[in-house]
Amino acid sequence: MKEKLLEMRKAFYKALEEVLTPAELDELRIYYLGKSGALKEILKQMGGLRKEDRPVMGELANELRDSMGEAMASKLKEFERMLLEKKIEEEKIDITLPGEKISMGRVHPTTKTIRELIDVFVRMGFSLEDGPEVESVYNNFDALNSPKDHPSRGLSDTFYFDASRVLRTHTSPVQIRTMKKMQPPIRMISVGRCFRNDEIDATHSPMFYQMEGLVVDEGISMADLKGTLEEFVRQLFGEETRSLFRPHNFPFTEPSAEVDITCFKCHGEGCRFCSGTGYIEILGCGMVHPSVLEECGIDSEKYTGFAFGMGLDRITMMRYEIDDIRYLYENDKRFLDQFRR
Amino acid sequence: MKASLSWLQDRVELPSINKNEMAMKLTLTGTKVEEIASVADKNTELIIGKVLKVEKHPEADRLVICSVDSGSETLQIVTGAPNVFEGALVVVAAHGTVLAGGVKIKNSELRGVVSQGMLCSLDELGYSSNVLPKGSTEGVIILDEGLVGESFFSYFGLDKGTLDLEITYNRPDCLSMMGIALEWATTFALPLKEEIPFDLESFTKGDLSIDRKEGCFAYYALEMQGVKIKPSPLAWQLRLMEMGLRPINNIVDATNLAMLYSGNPTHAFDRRQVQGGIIVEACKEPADFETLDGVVRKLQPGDLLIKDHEKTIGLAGIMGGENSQILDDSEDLIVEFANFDSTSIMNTSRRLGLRTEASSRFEKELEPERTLLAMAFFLKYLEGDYDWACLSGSHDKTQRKAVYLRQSRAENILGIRLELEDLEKIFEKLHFNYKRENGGVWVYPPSYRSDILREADLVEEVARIYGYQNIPSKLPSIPEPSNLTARQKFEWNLRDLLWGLGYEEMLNYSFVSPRSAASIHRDTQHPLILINPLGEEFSQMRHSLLISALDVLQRNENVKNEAVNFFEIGNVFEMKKDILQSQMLSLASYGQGYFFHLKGNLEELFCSLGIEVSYKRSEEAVYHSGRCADVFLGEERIGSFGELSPFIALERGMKKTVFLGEFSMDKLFELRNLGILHQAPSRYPAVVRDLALLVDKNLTQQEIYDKILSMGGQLLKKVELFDIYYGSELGESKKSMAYHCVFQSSERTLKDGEVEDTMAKILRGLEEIGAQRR
Repeated sequence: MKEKLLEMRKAFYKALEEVLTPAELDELRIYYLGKSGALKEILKQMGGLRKEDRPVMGELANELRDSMGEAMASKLKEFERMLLEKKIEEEKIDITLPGEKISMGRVHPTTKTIRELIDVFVRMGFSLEDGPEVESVYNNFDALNSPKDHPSRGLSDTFYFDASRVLRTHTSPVQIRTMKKMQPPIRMISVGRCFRNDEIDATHSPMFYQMEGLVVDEGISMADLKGTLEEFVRQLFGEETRSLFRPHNFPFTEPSAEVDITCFKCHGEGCRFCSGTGYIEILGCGMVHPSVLEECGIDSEKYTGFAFGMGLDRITMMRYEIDDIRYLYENDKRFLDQFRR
Repeated sequence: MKASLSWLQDRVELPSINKNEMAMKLTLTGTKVEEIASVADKNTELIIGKVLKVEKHPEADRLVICSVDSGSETLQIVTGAPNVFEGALVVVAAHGTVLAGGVKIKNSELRGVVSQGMLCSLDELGYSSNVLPKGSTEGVIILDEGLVGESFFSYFGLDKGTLDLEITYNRPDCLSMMGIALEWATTFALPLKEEIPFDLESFTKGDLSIDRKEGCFAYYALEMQGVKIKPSPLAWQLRLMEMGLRPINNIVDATNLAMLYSGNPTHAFDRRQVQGGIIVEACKEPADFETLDGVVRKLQPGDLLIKDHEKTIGLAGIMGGENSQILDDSEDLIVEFANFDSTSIMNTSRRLGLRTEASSRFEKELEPERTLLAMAFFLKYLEGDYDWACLSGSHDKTQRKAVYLRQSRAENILGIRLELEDLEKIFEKLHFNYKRENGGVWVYPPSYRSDILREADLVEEVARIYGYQNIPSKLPSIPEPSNLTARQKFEWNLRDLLWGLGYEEMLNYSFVSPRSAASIHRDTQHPLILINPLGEEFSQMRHSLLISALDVLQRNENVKNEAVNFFEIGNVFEMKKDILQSQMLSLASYGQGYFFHLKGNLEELFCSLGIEVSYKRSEEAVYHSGRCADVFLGEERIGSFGELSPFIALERGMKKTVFLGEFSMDKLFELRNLGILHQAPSRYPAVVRDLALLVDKNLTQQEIYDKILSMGGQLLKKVELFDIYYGSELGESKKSMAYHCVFQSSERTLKDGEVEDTMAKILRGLEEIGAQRR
C-alpha cells in the first residue's frame, strides 16, 4: 500500500507540472483528492492492513493529502499572479497623455505684490489703514502742505468732481486721516488705488496702486527711516539688494528722498534693464514736514516721523518684467493665467 | 535741464574724477543726473582742416576737388558741398573715421578721382534734428575759428559732454547755468570764478516810461540801435545745440543764452512797433491776441500783459506778440528783462495750454535781481553787434527772512550729532551768510533761494550736504505686534476661497464710460461724474462692478479666449446726499457651465463663509429674467447673480453665454459666521428612502424641498434632489422630481415603522401642494 501511495504521489507531481490552466488544476484535484479520487481508492485498502501498520499508513496518507493540497494551492497562486501580470500588462497607459483639466484661480500680479508688502510691514509692526478713493482737496493737498499753486493740483494732473473733491492722487491722505484719528505712536501703511490725469501709454495709467507708510513717535529720525526702508528692500528684493537714498523734494516731507535699489537683474553692474545705471528707483520718502504734523494736531516739537510711498504697478512690472502697464488693467486671461498663486 | 560742462567751466572748475563719479556726487547732493551725453561720443575723432585749393572735378559738374591741410598732411577730398572755398576752416573725417550712426569713412574714388576722406556737415554728427540750425544740411561746416590739426570736438569743448539734470520743484534757481554752477561749487567744494561784471549805475540811462502796474517785480527795457542781425558765432551755436535749443540768429540766440545762463527769460521787441512806453498790467476784459507763433489766443481778465501806450504787445512771461516781433529788417530793438508774478504766469500758461521755455521758468518764483544777471550776459554776448544802447527800468529788492536752526533739532531729525562748527561748514559750502547764536545758527538765505523759509528747510540743506549716505541706519523699536483687522483678513480670505474655486482676479479702472454704465440698467439716477476726465470713456465712476466686468468679458471674447472665470473686489460709487463708496465683489464668466454651475460655486462660497442663504427671482434688468436670482440672508439682500440678459448680449454682440454676479462685501462680512461647533457623526445606521414625485411643472424645487423638510421632523437629516424628469407620459404640464430622504438618529437604530410613518406624513404634506407619489 505504501508503494501505491508513493507511486500516486509521483504521478501527481508529474501531472501537476503539466497543468496549464486553473480548470486543469481543478480536474487534477478531483482526480486525486476528490470523493472517489485516487487517494480515497487507495485508502479503501486500509482495512487489509495489520492493525499496527494502520496509524503509520494513515499518517502517511494525511501527509500526502496535505502536501498535494499545498502544492495545488501554490500552483493556483501562481496562476493568479500570472493572470494579474497579464492584466497589468494589458492595462499599461501612455502616462504622457495630459491630466484632466481642473483649474485653480490665479492671483492678479498687483495683488500678489500688495500681499507680500503687507506681510513685510505687518511683521514690522505696522497697521493697515484704509481710506476712500474719493477724497477732499483738503486731505489730498492742503493738509499735506502742498503749495496752493503746485502743478499737481491742476486739472491736467488731478481728477476733480467739484472744487473740493478729487480722486485721490496718492495714498497720502490716509496719513492725514490716521493722524487726525489718533495720537502717536503711529505706525501705519495704506494700500490702494490712486488716480492721475495721465494719458494711457506703456508707462502711464490714469489709475494705479500705491503703498504709503507713516511712523510718528518721539525720537524718530532719518536713521529710523533709512533702517526701516533698507529692511523692507532686503525682505522684498533679497538680502544682497542695496538701497541708495537720494535727496529729492516733496511738499509733505523735509528732508525728502528718493530711494534707488541696486538693479536685481545686474546687481548694480549696469544693464539694459536699469539703463546702465545699476540702480532702479522704487520709492519716495522723507521726514514728515512739521506743517503736516501741526495741521493734524500733533506737536511737531515732541513728535517726529517719517513717511514713504511707492507705486505698486511699477514694482509689479519690475518683478515680472512686464514692459507695458496696460497689461495690468486689460485683464486678458492669457496674461493673468501666468500668475500662479 | 541740460547743462553743458564746457559752459559750466566758465564759472567753476570741473573736478578731476570720471564722469560717472561726478554724476553720482551731484545726484547725492540733490541734483539728479539723468544722463551724460556728448556728441563727441557718437563719432570718432574729427580734425579741423584748412582748404588750400578748390578745383573743378573733370567728370562731374557738382563735385569739387579740395586740397585740405589736416595739420599732419594734405588730403585730397572730393565734395559736393557748394560752400567750400579756399582758406575755409572745415571739419575733416579722414580715412578710418566712424561717424554717428556707424558710417565708416574710407579712402575711395569719386568718378575717377581719389578722395581721402570727407568734409562734415552738422547733420552728420548725430545731433537731434530739432536743434540743427536751418540750412545745416546744405553745406559743410565752415568754422569761424579753429586751429588746423586740432580735434574739432575738444576745440569747441564738445567732448566734455552735457548733463541732463532733474531739477526739483523747490529749486527753480537751478533752472540756470548759474544755479547749477553754484550747486556744483557746493558739491565739489570748488571756488566759483568771478561773475560777469555789470555796473548798472554807469550804464547809459534811457528815458522810456515803464509802468509796472501789477504782478511785475522787475522790468528793464534795453533800447538798442543799429543792431546787425546775423548768425551767432559757431561756438555759441554749438553751445545752444548742446543745451537743446536751435540756433536762429544772434539776437534770438542771445536771449536764449542769457535765459539759459541766468534762468531769467528775456524777450526782444521791434522798436518800431512799440508806441510810447511799456505798461505791465493784468487783462481787464476778454480779448483776442495773436502771439508770435501765429496763434490767436483768448485773453481772460487776470492774464498779465505787456502793453505799449496803444496796444498789447506781449503775453507777459509766456510769449511775445505777433505785432511786435523781430523781423529780418529790424535794426532797433527793445529787449525786456523782467520778473513776473509766478502764479499768474502759471494760471495763464495752463489755461492757454501754452508752455514755453519762458513760462516754465516764470511759473516758479525767481528773484527780481536775476534780471540784472541776464542783462549782463546778454550785453556781453552781443558786444560789437549794435551801435548804441540805453537802459530804463527798475526792480524790487528781494527780502529774505533769517531762519534759525537749532543744533538739537538737526540732531533729532537726522539722528546724527552735528556740532555748530559742522553746521557752519555746511552753510559755508552753500554760500549762505550765517551767524552763530546760543545753541544754533541764524542763516540769511541768498536772494536766489526762495525755498528757505523755515527751520525744516535748513535741516534738509544740512542733510543733503552732509550726505544721506552718511546717516546711519537703525530700526525703530516695535512697540507692539500688529495684525490685520478682521475686515482686512476677510477680504484676503475671500480672495483665497475664490482662488480655490477657480476664479481669476481682475483689476479694472474705477471709472467707466456712461454708455457702458447705461447698458447695466441699474438705478443710475445718481452717477458720479468727473469734471475733467481723461476722455468720455473714463468719465463716470462705476456704480456697479458689472460694468467693467462686461467690458472685460467682451475683450476676452474678442481675443478668442475660450472660457474665462473672473472676480473683482472693488469699490462702487454713487452721488446721493454725499458721495457713497461701497466695496463689492463681482463674478463674471463665460464658457463655464450654466446657471447652476455658478450657483454651485456660490453655494460652496457661502458655505465656507458660514452663510445660509435663500434665493428669489431677481428683477434686475442686467440678467436674463428667467435665469437670475437675488440672494438673501434672512430679510437682507446681499447680492444677485444670473445669466446676462440676451438683450444686452445682443447689443454688445457677445456670442457666448455670460454669467454674472455681484455681492456686497460689507454684508458678506457682517453676516459671515465663522463659529464652528463640532457635532459627532451618528454611530447608528441611516435609513434612506427615495421619493419620486409627480408635480406641476411650475412648482419650484424650493417649495417641494421646504415642504419635505418641514414635514420630516427631527429624524429627517437630509433631503437631496437626485433626478428631474419630463416626459409625454407624465402629461404636458407635469414633471417628475426624485429625492433621497435620509433618516438617522444619534441615539438608536431606527425602526422601519417610524420611518414609514414619517414618509406617510411627508406625502400627505406634499399632496397639499399638489405633489403625488409616482
